[in-house]
Amino acid sequence: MTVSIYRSFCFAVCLALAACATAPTPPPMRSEKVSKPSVQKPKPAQPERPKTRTSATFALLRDADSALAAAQPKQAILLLERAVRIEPRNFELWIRLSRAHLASNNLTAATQHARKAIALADTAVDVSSQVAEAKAWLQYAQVLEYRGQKQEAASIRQRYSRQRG
Amino acid sequence: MTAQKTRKTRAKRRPKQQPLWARMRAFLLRLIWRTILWLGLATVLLSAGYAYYIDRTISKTFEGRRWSVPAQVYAQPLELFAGLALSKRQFATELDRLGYRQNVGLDSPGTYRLNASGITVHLRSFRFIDGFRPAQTLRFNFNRKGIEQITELDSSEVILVRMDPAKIGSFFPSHGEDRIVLTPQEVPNLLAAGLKAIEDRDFDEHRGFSITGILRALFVNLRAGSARQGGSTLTQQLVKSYFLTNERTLQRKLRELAMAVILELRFSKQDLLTAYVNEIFLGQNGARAIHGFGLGAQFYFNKPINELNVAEIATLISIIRGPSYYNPFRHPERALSRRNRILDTFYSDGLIGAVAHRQAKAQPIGVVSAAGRGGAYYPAFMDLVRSELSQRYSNADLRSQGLQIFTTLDPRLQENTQQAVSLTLDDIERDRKLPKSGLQAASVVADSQTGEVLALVGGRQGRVDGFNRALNAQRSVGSVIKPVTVLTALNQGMELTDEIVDQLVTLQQSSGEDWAPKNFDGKTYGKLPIYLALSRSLNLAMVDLGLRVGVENVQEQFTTLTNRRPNNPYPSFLLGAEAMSPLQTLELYGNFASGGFHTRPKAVIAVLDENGSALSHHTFEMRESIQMPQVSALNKALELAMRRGTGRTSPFSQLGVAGKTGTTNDNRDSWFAGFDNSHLSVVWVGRDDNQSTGLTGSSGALRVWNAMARLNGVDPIVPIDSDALVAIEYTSGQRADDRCADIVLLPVQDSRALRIKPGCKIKPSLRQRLRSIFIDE
Repeated sequence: MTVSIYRSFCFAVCLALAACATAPTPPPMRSEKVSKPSVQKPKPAQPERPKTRTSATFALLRDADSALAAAQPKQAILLLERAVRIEPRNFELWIRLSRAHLASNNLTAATQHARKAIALADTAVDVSSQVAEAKAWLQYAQVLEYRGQKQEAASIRQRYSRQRG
Repeated sequence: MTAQKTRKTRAKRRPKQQPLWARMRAFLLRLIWRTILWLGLATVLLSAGYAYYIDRTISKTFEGRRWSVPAQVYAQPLELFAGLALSKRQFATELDRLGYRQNVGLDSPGTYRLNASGITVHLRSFRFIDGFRPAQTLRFNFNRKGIEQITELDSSEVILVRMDPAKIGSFFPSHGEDRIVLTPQEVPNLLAAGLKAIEDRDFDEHRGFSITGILRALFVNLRAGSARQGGSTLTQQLVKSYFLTNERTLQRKLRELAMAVILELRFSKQDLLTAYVNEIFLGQNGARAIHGFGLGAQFYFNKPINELNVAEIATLISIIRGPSYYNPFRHPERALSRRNRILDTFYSDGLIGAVAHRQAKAQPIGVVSAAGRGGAYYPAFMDLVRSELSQRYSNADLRSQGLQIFTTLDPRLQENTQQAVSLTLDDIERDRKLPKSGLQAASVVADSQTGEVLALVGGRQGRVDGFNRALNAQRSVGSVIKPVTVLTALNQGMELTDEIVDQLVTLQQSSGEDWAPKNFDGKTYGKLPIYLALSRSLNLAMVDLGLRVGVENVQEQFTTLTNRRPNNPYPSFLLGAEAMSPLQTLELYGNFASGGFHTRPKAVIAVLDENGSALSHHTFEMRESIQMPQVSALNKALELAMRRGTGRTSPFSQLGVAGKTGTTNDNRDSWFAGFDNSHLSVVWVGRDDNQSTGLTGSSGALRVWNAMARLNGVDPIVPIDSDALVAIEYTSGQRADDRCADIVLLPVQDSRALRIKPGCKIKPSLRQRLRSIFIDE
């Protein structure tokens, strides 16, 4: 009788555990605070001083930012691709490439390059992988917004804007 | 009386009657004359028409060929910056490769000077895809790690410098023909004078053909008793090369004469000589003909034409008479003898002095054998360039003049890879006592993140242009395909630690025949985790896994990764009974090496027209093909296959590289596909006749990869954050730690579900406790 009760208890616990099981979830959010989804059109990429492993790629990044500011996305892409050949795993370069493609209205490339930046963010060397990940996801959110997937973009922004620091 | 008068009157009126035969003769004469007249007129008209036709045809062709500016094909430029691991000696080698000359004064672009602390270089100007870089002089200082600092002459620091890229070929992209076209100014004086002295003494005087030349040749040949000298002028040889076949008929000879005369009337002697220098056939490199002295200099001596010495020029001229008969590789003594006769003529004609004559004759034939030939001649890679151009560009674009084609080739990596392939095959044949030169190989190296092809070797003799195995050999890939099955399982929610069964199985194929695969060693291993089956490349376990996840799902996964449907729809696909080229295999593994992105292998970055405007620029193209957790897990398993599995014999296996070996039935094909942090490589070794080599993936292709890694270095894979990894006993797949078992670290989504190795002091989760209860029962 005792065994039977014990078995029933175990079975009930198993059922409860099974009911709680969910599909793998994205990385946990740092902040649960819900902010109002942004509906504004994203601003153009602000040139900022990135941290790269070599000063060589930084020099190219700076030139690419200037080209982008001068509304020359094709030139920016050429410079950034040159930088990627020097430092292919630098997530920051892929973020910039995504921005440059966004500026030239190539949404497919902008999306894929943002995804690439996300994939490389956890191996970032100059910033914490969380900050890198946040930056990459926020770029992805910007692309999604351009694609009209505003809800998904807002959700990503909510999750990562604080981590970016 | 009246009757008599009447007869006289009739006689007066009627002319005197000629005999019939006379009248017939007159008629015939008239007919002949008229016929001759008309025929003559018709002949003149037809000849004029034919001459006009020939004139139009050959002038158009000649103009087209003469003024065609071939496309220039460039490798990737070397990027230089402080911190780059490039020694002073390596940099000097790079400069030599680019044709920079040592010159103390640095008075012209393309020169450099070695100092105690570094190298000062007068860079050439160059128009890159993204802008023009003017000529400039820079100092490069080195330390033990590589480049320490780059400065201008006024000591201001330079952050990044791009060398002008190596020219790796020039060809007419619309018809894919290689040619290094020389301008009249680029033709060395000795070559021009030597050609006239040997091939056509009256070149400056004659009008397309030379009676004295023919008579002289006749005399020489009669005296020698064999055909020693030809009677054709340079112009006739040019006509023959441009327009005619080698058939020996009177009609062809007459056409040749007519064309030669017309060419002489239409074009200057200098134009004709330059065209000859660029056109003449000088030999055969596999499937590709060597036309012109520019390419000939590169092919036989691995030098640009302006660097040839007297003896080398004489050798090239000696080849014209019979590129096969006087082939300096196959018949060096014959070629040497003819070269020396030519040098004698140079001397007797006053083209060279006595000292130069003596020195030149003392030199060996000096051709650089195909295997050891360096320099910027990469026919296998050029095949890929040609193929990509034809796929991506219109014929109209490719017919444009003076295109500049920027490619992804890394010359240093290319030469290292070629050397690794050639030398390792020699070593394998020697070690295993295999017949010499029976083995063949191919290899492709790409940037792991961008998919750009950095090196491509199509056979063991890199500079012999023949069958390009890297692109065209379709061979079964064997176990190299197994990661596709593992990935399918991971995508279905399975873990690397999940158990599968390695046991004998017999499947009935749709043809009705039984298929009973076996492991390489003929044994079975029972239950074991997925990663271990992959690491040890167990066929039966992989078939079990493939049948669990569904062969059609594995094939679907393959299509996602390669953009193509498999040819083999049967379960034998799971073990690599699928023919692929090394380049296609590279495309498959690119998904893993890049962290889950599909990229089409790419060789052409951009094509500029003669004004420097981009016809098109191929930006990085990729498509996310595998989710992060799955690709991380798979790559960890591939890393394990190197550390502990079939790749463990590699001296680089413990450094952080991922890869998979492959062996096909009867050891016909030996494969290796692997990657580190920077490069993805695929190597195939086998025989062209598809016979057994006796080699496995480890003893063949992996050995070639080892040699490549030794020359190119290894950039270890960045380890995954250890928090995301779980310690697993290697042989059982159970949770363990290094105090109680031989462990490996693997990413596992749900480590709570793992069994804990008995005896290991690991606190079980509630789930594990519950599970142990059930298992105990």
